[in-house]
Amino acid sequence: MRAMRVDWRAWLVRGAALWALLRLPAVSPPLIVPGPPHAVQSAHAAVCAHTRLTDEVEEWKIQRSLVMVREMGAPWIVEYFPWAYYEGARGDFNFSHADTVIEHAEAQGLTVIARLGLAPAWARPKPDAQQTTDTYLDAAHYADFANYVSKFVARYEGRVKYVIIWNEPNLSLEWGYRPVDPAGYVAMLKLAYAAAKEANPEVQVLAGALAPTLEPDGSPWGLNDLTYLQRLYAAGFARYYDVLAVHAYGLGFAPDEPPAPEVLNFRRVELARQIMEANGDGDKPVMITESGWNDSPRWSRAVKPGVRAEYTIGSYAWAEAHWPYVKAVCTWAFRFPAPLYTYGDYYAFVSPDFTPRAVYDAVQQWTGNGK
Amino acid sequence: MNSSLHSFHSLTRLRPWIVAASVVASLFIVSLFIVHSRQDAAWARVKQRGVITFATDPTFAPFELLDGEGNFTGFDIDLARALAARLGLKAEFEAVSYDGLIGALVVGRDDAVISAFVIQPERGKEAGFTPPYFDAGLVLVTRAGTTVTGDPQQWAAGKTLAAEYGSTGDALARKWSRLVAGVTPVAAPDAGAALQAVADGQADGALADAVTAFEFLAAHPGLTLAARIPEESAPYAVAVSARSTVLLRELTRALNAMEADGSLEELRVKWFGEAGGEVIYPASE
Repeated sequence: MRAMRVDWRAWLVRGAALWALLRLPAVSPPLIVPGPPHAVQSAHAAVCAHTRLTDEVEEWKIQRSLVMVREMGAPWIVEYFPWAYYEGARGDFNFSHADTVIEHAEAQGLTVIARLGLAPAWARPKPDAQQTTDTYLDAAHYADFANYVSKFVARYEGRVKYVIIWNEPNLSLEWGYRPVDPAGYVAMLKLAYAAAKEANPEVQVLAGALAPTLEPDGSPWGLNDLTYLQRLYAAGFARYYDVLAVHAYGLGFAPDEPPAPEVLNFRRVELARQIMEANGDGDKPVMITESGWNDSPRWSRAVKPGVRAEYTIGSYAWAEAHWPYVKAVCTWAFRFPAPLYTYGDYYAFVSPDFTPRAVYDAVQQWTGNGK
Repeated sequence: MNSSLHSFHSLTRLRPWIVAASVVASLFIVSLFIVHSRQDAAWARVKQRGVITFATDPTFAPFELLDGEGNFTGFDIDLARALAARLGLKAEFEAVSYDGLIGALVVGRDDAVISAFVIQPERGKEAGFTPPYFDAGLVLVTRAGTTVTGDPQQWAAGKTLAAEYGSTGDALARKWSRLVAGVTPVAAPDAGAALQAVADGQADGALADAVTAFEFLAAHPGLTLAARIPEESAPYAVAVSARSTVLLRELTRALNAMEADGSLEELRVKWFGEAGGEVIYPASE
């Protein structure tokens, strides 16, 4: 039997190679860097895009989206920062994705309006007791949500100045498929507002963000946004927000189409404003955090792509000329990470592969960034 | 003792065990089925009520819309009624905005979704899908007699392609013009004008969504659906909750039976004309 000889030099080389291999990710420079800071060049300061970077995994796509927003001439973005994604287990926060988005937005010179909502599974009933969606949050967990708001606001103090509390609570599907509850929303907002202000007194809290709808009282699907807004005020809403967030979709109407309570169009904003003023809140500004037109070839509420481009620019121009209280008009949606396979895809400014659509080119031209 | 006799004797000795094992296995399979059925709350509900409730967003003609009297109508509505009938059920419909369709399944508000709903494997945790029953994606229309074999993008070399300005077809035509030599994209004010350009000989082909193309082809026999664009396909299917495994199986069986006996094709021809009637997906479980 031959005696085994250990070749120490060979093992040393192998060990060194393994160590170098393991160290490689740590010492390699990052592939994507935010780059030097940019400033948005725009002839129209209120232009804003609602981005959808939440489900975007690849950092270069986050960066590319935000570069294209800047190049379109939009100084603002609205972006989701879902509670469910960042506090997957109670007290276990992981903001790495949010850090990436905010870092790249800053590098592009964009002002971020952060939309906070969507409850994690741990803050909802156990599935074997009750099936719920991530829009379900009962009063027992309002404080948990407020804690998330506090953590988010504190982390991005000086970098994120605007936060929106929840989304479209006047729709049943956005309220956990339960009957909508204006007083319940105000109860949640009260805690979230206090938490946000305690974390950073300078932060501006946006609230409302109601879906334009004509659903009557008792509908299982929601409640008329104007009715709901008035009920918010009756429940003490005015004390718990700084800026009213409004959703103003044009559907088939031109942006200058006059408003009427029974019509859903862009100038419905003026009816919401009347309710603000009637409740003594006329000094507070408004931000349109969702708006836009759809150019699906088949959806009954869509318009032609060329008309969509014209109406979209018209909406910015209308707000600029007639609504001094409106600080931003955020059009839904800049780009989806993947196709939705529905008419929703036809709200996008650019396709998932970053191909600009007609509306992108038109807005870019209008803001003075045309090539 | 020869080997076959040996096997026979062994088998005889083992027979009681084989029988016992078969009985146990059968009971196990039956129990699995019972447990499976019990876990499928939607299936239990529809069987008990004799009614299956479909969530649908009735803003998408000709698949689902409301007629002048507020009744649900459209291709999907006809299909849902036919599927329900094959299961011995009555179909009812609830109008739900598109964003809320899957949630309505998750919380058990509705039993199924039929709403020009494209199969999305990434939603598999929430929803299960039947095989597709229609492809509404992008198609290439040419003059009759034109043969497009293989990749439509390669066929487009040296051709003029019309599409509605700003549409998916327009974006694709522009993309092809960058990738393939000699592709000339022509933007038309709407899809009808793009298709008409082909009929008039001003373009070699038009890129349009399938339903628009089918409507146009019905009135223009000189044109033909030359090819589907695979990367822009939009396969529609019925969706159920991911927990509704029995309901999914039953709906799939019914859909496959409709494809096999031609009744699904009849329905497609009724709503989309002869060009829309072709069998796109062979029936499968």
